[in-house]
Amino acid sequence: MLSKLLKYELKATARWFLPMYAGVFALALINRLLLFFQPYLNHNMLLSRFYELINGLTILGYILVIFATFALTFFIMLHRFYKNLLGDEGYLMFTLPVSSSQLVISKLITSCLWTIATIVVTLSSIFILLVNEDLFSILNWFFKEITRVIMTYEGIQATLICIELIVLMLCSLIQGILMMYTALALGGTRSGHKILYSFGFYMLINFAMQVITSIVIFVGGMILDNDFIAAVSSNIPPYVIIHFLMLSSIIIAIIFSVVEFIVTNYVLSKKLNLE
Amino acid sequence: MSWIFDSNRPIYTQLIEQMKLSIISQVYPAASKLPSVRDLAAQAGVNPNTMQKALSELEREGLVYTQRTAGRFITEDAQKVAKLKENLVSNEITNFFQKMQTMGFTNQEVLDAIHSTIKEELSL
Amino acid sequence: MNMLLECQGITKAYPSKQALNFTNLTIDRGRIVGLLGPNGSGKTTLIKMISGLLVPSSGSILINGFPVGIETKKIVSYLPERTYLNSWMRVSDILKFFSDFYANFNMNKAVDMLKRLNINPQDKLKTMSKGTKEKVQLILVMSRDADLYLLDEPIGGVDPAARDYILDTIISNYNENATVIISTHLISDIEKILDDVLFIQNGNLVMASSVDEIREEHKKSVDELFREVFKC
Repeated sequence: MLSKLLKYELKATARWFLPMYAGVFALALINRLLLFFQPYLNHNMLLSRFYELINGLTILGYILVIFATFALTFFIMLHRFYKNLLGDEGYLMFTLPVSSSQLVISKLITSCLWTIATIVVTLSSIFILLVNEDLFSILNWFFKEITRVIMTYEGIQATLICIELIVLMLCSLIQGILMMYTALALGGTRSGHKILYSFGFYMLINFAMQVITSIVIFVGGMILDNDFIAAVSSNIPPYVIIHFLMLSSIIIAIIFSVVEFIVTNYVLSKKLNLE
Repeated sequence: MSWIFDSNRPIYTQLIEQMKLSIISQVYPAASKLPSVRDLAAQAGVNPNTMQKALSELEREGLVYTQRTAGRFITEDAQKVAKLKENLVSNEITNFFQKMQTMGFTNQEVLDAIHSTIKEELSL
Repeated sequence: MNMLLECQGITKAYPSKQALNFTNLTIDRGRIVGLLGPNGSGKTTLIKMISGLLVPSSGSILINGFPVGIETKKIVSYLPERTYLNSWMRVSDILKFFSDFYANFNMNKAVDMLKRLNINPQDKLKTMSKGTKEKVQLILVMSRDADLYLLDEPIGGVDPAARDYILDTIISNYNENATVIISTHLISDIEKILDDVLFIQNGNLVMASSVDEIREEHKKSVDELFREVFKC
């Protein structure tokens, strides 16, 4: 059932993203081509001016499209959840023989996928922008250097930290999405001004999270007082501390995500209030 | 589309009457096969359970019978149908005369009125 | 085992009011039941609880022996009052959707009914009139081979010809294993096809009877009795 939900979720959202992505690539290509033609126009004053005008527009267009795509990703994430589960379509979705957790997970996975896709598309479009004969030799050298450095102890540590960073970003993404879902679900239980309440709940959850995190840090600071840290840090290489911070952040993100998921699921299955 | 019913009597009794009329007026001739309960119900615009109830009553009176795999049939017994016709006619006439009585006519007055109406209005 | 739906002592309380306060209720298979009552009497609340969109404040609901959940959603086909078909999909897409999620969805039946109503499967749902969307929803619901059909005001805002079609569809769809619960306030139109009626007022079940019983005992139609019972 989850795979079917995913299928329809992707179908419903792809019709927005694919044209936007096409636009991003198109503008990147246009800008790249203009760059290609630039040296040929230098001799002609009028053409040069003309070129600058067009190029200004296309660069602006490119940046706007990228902003728009990110904005769209964010907006669709919220809109899908709200419209499909809390609006009239909820009558359809919540009478399907699926659990509310499956509904939430399908939306979560789809939102994550599109966010990652948007980032990948943006980076790829930048790549297109930069493409030239030198680029490949630069990349070649770059990868050779990486493979050489990776084999060292520092290299391994750096790689681990990069992996932890990616995992942390993913967990933060999931946590961020779930936080919005929780706010929307809670707002949905009200009979009026659902969006306003959702916004309010979001602020509340955000505040609560910050308070909890601050308490944890404070308590942590009390436990690990200065003497302890001095005694420990002389023996521990700096990398371990970084790993510790990374892993704790990941764990905190996971804990928050789990709590938010449980709350969202509970609200949707027990406190559903479709009009 | 659907048949018209009185609102203050159970529908199944009215279905029985309607079916009986259909039998004697040869809409459903003797020995003919009836449509399925569901089709009859759809034609009449009523609940299939109600139609079923009516048909069961007709079976009890022997006007309809069920052959297990073949379906429902009107009785082949022509005498039964004739008797039914008789009963319905005499009921209709009795009701008519009772109504005329409440309007203040004597039976003779009614008979005379019938004769003259047949001559003039109905050209029979 | 002929009992399909069993409600025991279900209540639904909101901060502002007590929406539902039922004694026990059982409904057998093979019945067409009318849920009758004025607006706001609790009909939709009851139906939402049976379909799983609302959780009772207390009491239990069993459908075919199962508590309301994924298992019951498989065998319950619900037609809400609202149109939920507003998405990007075409008719053919929503057919495929139902077919994907419901094992008992009869695609051929649905296609047939669409054809008979001259609805083009390639039409986009967004561009359809409200009346056509309602018909498509009805077709989707009736094309499922379900054990319990819940129809919330199916003939409410619909023209008389469409009304006949809907009642026809309900009758011809009948099978003695399935039960249809129709919630409506348009009683005279629907009375002929009902087996039993439930009168609801202010969240309470005030009467449960068969149509025949009412006509025999009270010598009036259900519609007339309703007007008496619920006189303003």
